Amino acid sequence: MEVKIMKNILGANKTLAEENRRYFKDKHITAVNVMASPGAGKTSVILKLIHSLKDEVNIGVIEGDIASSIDAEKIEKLGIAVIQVNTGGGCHLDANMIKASVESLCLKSDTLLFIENVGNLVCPSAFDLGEGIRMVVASVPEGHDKPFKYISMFEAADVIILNKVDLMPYMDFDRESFYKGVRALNDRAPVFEVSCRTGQGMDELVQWVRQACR
Amino acid sequence: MFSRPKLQERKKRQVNGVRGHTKLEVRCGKKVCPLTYQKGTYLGKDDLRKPKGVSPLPWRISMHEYAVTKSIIDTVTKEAEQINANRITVITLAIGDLSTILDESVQMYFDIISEGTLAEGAKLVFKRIPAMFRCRSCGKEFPKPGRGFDCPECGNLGYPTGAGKEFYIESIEVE
Ligand SMILES: Nc1nc2c(ncn2[C@@H]2O[C@H](COP(=O)(O)OP(=O)(O)OP(=O)(O)O)[C@@H](O)[C@H]2O)c(=O)[nH]1
Ligand SMILES: [Mg+2]
Ligand SMILES: [Zn+2]
Repeated sequence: MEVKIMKNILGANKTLAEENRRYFKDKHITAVNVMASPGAGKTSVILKLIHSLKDEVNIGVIEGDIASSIDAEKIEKLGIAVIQVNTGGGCHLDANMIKASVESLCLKSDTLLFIENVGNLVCPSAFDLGEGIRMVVASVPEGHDKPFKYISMFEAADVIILNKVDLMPYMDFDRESFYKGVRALNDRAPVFEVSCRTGQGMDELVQWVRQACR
Repeated sequence: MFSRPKLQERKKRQVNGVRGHTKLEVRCGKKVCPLTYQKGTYLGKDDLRKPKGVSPLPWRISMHEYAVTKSIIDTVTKEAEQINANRITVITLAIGDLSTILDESVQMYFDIISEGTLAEGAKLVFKRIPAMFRCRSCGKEFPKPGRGFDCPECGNLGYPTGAGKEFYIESIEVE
């Protein structure tokens, strides 16, 4: 006998993500899911944003990593509430991990919560965490063709950061092609060109995040 | 000399796992390593342990497909229980080409995790659905080209229509 199911395979994750989303909404928490390939600059961007915004708003951080607390220690040094989630080989964070982390972080209302996902341009795009903002960080040394290869990641982004623009003179990064790929997939997310090294473009990004917290 | 345990032996050991835990084993080079996943908790570092003395390189398992497979089995066994089925013989999955799983890897985890459930021995059928794009200028629908997103008719940019993102369990066959 055949039985129709028609259920999303990741339905259980989606249900938990919606619970997280409701929780964030009730507590006025702006959760930002920061996704990028390894080394693109997720931690650097988060650190820069913390520097600029920590006097205006409560900030919390969930650091996802395969196996280390290096990034979490950098955040902790700034006196920010941080929790490390080691996925032990896992390629992405999921909604259950966020639920557990949020409970142990004891976040106040009106908090800006950064969630640094595992460095990976593929899997994190499939797992909704209940975040309010999906922030995708691309970087100049990775090359301009990333939107053409990691379609789901760029398509679902709410904001796209092109980091390491200070390296532009040394790379053959084709800006036009990058924007062409991004705009084919996503015509609403703003793109911010920044350098965490020189600080270039940071003010505009900070302003956007400030608005998004309101 | 360490000899490779037969699949049967490995399966037997899993069945004798602690209650409330799913016991799995993965081959790492010549060793068979235990892999534990506590039910109802997330895959944090305490749930998954890399055994001591195993070099990191051969320990190449894909957690993504593991999580996906676990979810498939949980869903279909619940459905089968509801209609008092004795066993599941076929599971048909609809998977878009833009989704991120490897069929072979899901099959591998399935063979291990389905042990002792209503889904044990079921045949997995993967219906692959191609990724489609639509031209922003002329509206033509076309399969995603090998490179770029350009419309084959007019050369303007296309965007994903949504076809190719499917990721669901379509149906099961039960006895
Ligand atoms: N030149 C240059 N280097 C940068 C910039 N931003 C970050 N880096 C460097 O890039 C490296 C990786 O940065 P991280 O912020 O650790 O990147 P990440 O994405 O958090 O990396 P993982 O968490 O390991 O995936 C570090 O050595 C940074 O100093 C930039 O704008 N310009
Ligand atoms: Mg980092
Ligand atoms: Zn066209």
